[in-house]
Amino acid sequence: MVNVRRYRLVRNIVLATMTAVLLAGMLVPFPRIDDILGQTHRNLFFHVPLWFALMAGMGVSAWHAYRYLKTGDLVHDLRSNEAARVAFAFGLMGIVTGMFWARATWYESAGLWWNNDPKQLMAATQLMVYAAYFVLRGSLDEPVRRARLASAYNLFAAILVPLLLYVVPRQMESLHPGAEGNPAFSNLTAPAMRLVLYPAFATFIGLFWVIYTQRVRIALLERRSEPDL
Amino acid sequence: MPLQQAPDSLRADSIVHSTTVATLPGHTNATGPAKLLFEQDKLYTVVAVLLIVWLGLAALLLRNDRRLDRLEKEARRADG
Repeated sequence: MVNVRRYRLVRNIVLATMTAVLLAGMLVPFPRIDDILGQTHRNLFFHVPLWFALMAGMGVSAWHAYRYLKTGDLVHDLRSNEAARVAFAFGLMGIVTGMFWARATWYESAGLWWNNDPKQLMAATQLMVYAAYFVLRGSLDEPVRRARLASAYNLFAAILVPLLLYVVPRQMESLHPGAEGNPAFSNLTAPAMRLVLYPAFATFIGLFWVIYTQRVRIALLERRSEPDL
Repeated sequence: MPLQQAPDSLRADSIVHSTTVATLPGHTNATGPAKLLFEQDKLYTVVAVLLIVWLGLAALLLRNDRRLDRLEKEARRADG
């Protein structure tokens, strides 16, 4: 069910590239932009990829929800659930790291942790939508009924991802870079940072995939011992 | 007799102050202020800590995989 050989290959690549991204992200000198950002522009390498991992993960989850509705194979529902759980964890980390970054920059003088910035607000809304997905799953005991309802809900939740994370924040005034149309990579950032940022995207998505696949393997073993789960 | 004051350059607070990031001019080259930031501001210590944390988590991931491999093998054997 799980291609263990491919899993090991991806895992080993991710372990190596994550180490490289951490070292490069911390140590390579990049032009300092201003006193507000200080050295925090390095957060770009660690905060933004979390959201890319969330979007990729919710995409995987939606794909398996769709596959479940097509085939009725409960393994797809199991995969859809695990992908959503791991992606949700990345999203929580994204919200919290964003709050720390905003506190040190946008809200430095105001001393705030949260000021309803549209992008943050929509991201939080998106996480609530997925929280409801887990609540829905938890409230249904019968596997087939649960899989069908959860998969249908999952597709609606996934449609909201590009709307809430891209479209709506672009229409509103926001301190978050990207409001002017260029996602995250504004003219404030040195072009050389892309050399670390793009590998970081791939690495974080890879890390999502590794943890997700590990959890699928665990869930498949659990299902063997408790077929009704 | 009043205590003689140490020259400004030797006073502890002035030394600390002179190496904090806030007083650095925006660093335009990698050798000057960036070198100060990395070496004297002990950034290497933070990087070492980060690396230890990451390698520790990676080790846990690998150990989980070993346990999974064993369980999956047992499950396959049980299936015959």
